[in-house]
Amino acid sequence: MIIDIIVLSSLALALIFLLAWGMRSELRARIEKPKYLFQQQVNNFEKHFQHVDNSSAQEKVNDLEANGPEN
Amino acid sequence: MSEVFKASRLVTKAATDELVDTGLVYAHSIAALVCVLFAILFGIVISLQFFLPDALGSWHSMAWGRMRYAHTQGIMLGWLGNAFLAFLYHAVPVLTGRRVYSPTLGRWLFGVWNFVIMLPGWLLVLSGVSQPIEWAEFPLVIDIIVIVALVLAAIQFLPPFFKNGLEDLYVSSWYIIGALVFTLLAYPMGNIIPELVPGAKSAAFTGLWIHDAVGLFVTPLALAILYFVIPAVTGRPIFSHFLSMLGFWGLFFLYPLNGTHHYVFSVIPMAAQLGAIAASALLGVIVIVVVTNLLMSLRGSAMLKKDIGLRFVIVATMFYLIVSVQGALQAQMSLNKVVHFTDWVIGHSHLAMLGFATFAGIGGIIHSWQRIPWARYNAGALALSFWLLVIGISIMVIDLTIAGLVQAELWQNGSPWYESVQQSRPYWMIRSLSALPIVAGFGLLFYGLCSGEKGAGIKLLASQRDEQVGGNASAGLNDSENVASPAHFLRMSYRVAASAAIGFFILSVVLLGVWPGKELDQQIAAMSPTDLYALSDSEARGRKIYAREGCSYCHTQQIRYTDADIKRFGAPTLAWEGQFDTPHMWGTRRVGPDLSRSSGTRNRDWHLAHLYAPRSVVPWSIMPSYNAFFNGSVEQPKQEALDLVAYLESLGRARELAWPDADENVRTLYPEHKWAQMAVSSPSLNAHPGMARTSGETPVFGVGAVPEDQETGEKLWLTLCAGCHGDNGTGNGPAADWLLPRPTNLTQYAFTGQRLAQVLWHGVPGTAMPAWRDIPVNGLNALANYVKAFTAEEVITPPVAGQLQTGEQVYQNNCVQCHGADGSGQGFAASQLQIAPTDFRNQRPTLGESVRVLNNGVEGSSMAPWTDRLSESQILAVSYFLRELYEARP
Repeated sequence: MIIDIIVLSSLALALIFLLAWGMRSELRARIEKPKYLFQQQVNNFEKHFQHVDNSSAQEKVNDLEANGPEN
Repeated sequence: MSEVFKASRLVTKAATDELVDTGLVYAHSIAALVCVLFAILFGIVISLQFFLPDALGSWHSMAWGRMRYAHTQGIMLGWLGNAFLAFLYHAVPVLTGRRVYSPTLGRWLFGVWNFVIMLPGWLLVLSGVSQPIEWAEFPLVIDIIVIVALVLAAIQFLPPFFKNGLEDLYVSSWYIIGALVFTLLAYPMGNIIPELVPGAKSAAFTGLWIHDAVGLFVTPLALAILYFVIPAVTGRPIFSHFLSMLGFWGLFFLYPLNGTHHYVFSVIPMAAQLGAIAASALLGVIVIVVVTNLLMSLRGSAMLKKDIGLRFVIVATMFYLIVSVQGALQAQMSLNKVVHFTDWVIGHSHLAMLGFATFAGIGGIIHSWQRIPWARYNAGALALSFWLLVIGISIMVIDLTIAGLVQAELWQNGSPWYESVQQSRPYWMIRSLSALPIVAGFGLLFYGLCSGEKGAGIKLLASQRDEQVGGNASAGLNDSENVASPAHFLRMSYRVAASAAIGFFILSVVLLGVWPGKELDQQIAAMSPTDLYALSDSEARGRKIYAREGCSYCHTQQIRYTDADIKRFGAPTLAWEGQFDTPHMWGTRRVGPDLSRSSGTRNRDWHLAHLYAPRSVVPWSIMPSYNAFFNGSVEQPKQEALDLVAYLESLGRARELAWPDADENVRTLYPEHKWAQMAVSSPSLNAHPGMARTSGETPVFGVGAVPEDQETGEKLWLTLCAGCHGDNGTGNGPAADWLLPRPTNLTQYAFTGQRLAQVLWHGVPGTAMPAWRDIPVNGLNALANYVKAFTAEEVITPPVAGQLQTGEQVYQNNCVQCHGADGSGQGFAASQLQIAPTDFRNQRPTLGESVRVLNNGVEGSSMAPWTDRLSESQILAVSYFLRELYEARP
């Protein structure tokens, strides 16, 4: 009996998920949204590092080349 | 360039600190590394004791069991707990766009986790305050603090997730929420309930916790790292969020239902065992889906070669696949029957905790650490640490898996236990050697995070970002935003699924914990003998010592319902046998033999000698010495030693005494119950099959020795006998002085084959001489021939006229009461004696030995000195006469 409960309830839940996913295209798109949202958030966070290296740091290099190191 | 970088660091620091509490990422990472180095040190000390059991002398706090407790708790709570917390302080703000609840709470949580849980927890278990429950070894007082800390963690990390809708939560967020909520539910269940319910019922909850600790705490947080780091580093979204959520719900539904697979073939109701086995198989399928999704997310990315954190994460993913498929397979009865309790399982648990979870944890730490603007970062050292850890853990797991298969084969074919220990020794040595690259790897990891230029991680990151493949986050986002939003539906379905997951957890507790408990109660009520005695005070104290020293981590107290177990250890364990065992001592591994039927297999002297100096009585033993329980010698045991021996002598006694009435109940009440019938069908009358006995069928040994017997006999002699009888059979082995009566000086006796067969097969009850029925008969035959060769050549003066008649008269007047008129040792008083009198028909002492015994007696037996009743000439005469009783036979 326990096996039946575990197997059938697991399969039923998986089936519900799969059916909903298969039958509703808008759901398929919606359920994927969090990965894009996360990607946007993590890319924004990671941009801090990119930005610094490509802009502020480069400005500093230019500054150092023009004026020499600060004392 | 360093000047340049200082400037850039300031800008980045501000941007990062705005969101992430980098101080806590740093602090928990360092704490994790300190904890893992200690936990591994404990592990190394444990592993070395497998082949250097005396290496630590009498340093009792470093005893095997205590170190084992400290090792597992150190890995789970100290190392992985801190590593996950470090990652959460980075990940939760990035996932939610919000800071965690409170920096102050974060500092409190750090302090509680490390200085109120880990430090005192370790000190307590090393000083002997612990609980003998797998993955729950810290004592109850620490458990309460862990629960408080888990509540603090939930307050710290959960609120940011609920600021937005459920439908927008990324899969890592779900895993973090799941881990924090379900660990809070499972921890008290697994750590406290086994302390409240006894025996098999206690084991049912322990089984749940063992799997919940891995499945609801470690795995979700490790998977949160994998799902976080892969897209963060590659710059591309994961392959499928749908599959990731399918995996998430599947794992949270099924993991809690796996627990009882740790006790397959036990007395826990078979329906619960089969349920857990089915859930384990389903879980394997789910894991394949999860790993496929993760690997598909890496397609085409070149970052694996460049990003060290990602490298750890990918290997963690592969380890996860292997360990999960392995777990699903070893839960199946056919494989479980042979590999359970072997080192295969130890390899599996190391692959889970030190492979999958550790690599994920390191990946999370490196990923977070690299983004701390002010932290040092040495990419070269970290890259090298990766390879050292991969090599070390791979060697360890492969080695332990092979060792497990070797042990499984030997255990199944009924080989003597020492074969398993001796053949495992090379594998245990390799396992210890595998610690070298592992320690070097962790050392380099520590070094890599604490050396190098400050901010070098970010500098490296910046260069990587330039090469990163551009993500398509916005495009995907636009697509999903343009559809008619089914957000409400999704939100509702997640709520339903979350409720279902809680429901499945409750279901697991009911189906695999509460319901089996009810079934077991019924079994106990029906099968238990009515006059069952609780342990005496001394035995109860001994039980606490047994628990404190971690004895159950090497010696199970659970005979499984398998032919191999029954043949080796006796009748399988019934539920009622553990009704005074709170918590249970079933154990999950066998380094030494099962002790469920220990009662009557060895005498008290033997146990004391074995505790004080294990290799004195068992030369091949790898048990650590417990000489701290003695005042300098075996003859001066402390109360602890006496209590522990009393407990060992009590194990199985109730079952032995219960026969035959309680067994008859089982036969009558459960005639169709295969397992119940198996439990009462043991040929050994509920006692240990190797128990010494006075009678029984004895095999007939062959006549004479063949050349190869010499080698076998010598090997068996040195393995089984030399500890007591000495290498040359003179009865002066290392343990001889501690045993009463002393071991026989075999050079002073001639034996018939029948007598040697009897002694080797049945043992000598009342002495330290055990039965060796676990040794194959041809081996015992070779041993008997080896023993015969010890008999000293004797040149004696023939008896003078009338001396034999005098001797016979003396014998008839003084010896027949015990030794019998025919010298067979079956005089009318013999049955009243604890140790059977010598059978002179089958055992002939030398003249000198007879005189010595008659003059001195045999201490520890009923044989007293006869000098006050017999003259010297009478003693000599009867000594001559005894020789006449011997019936020289092969």
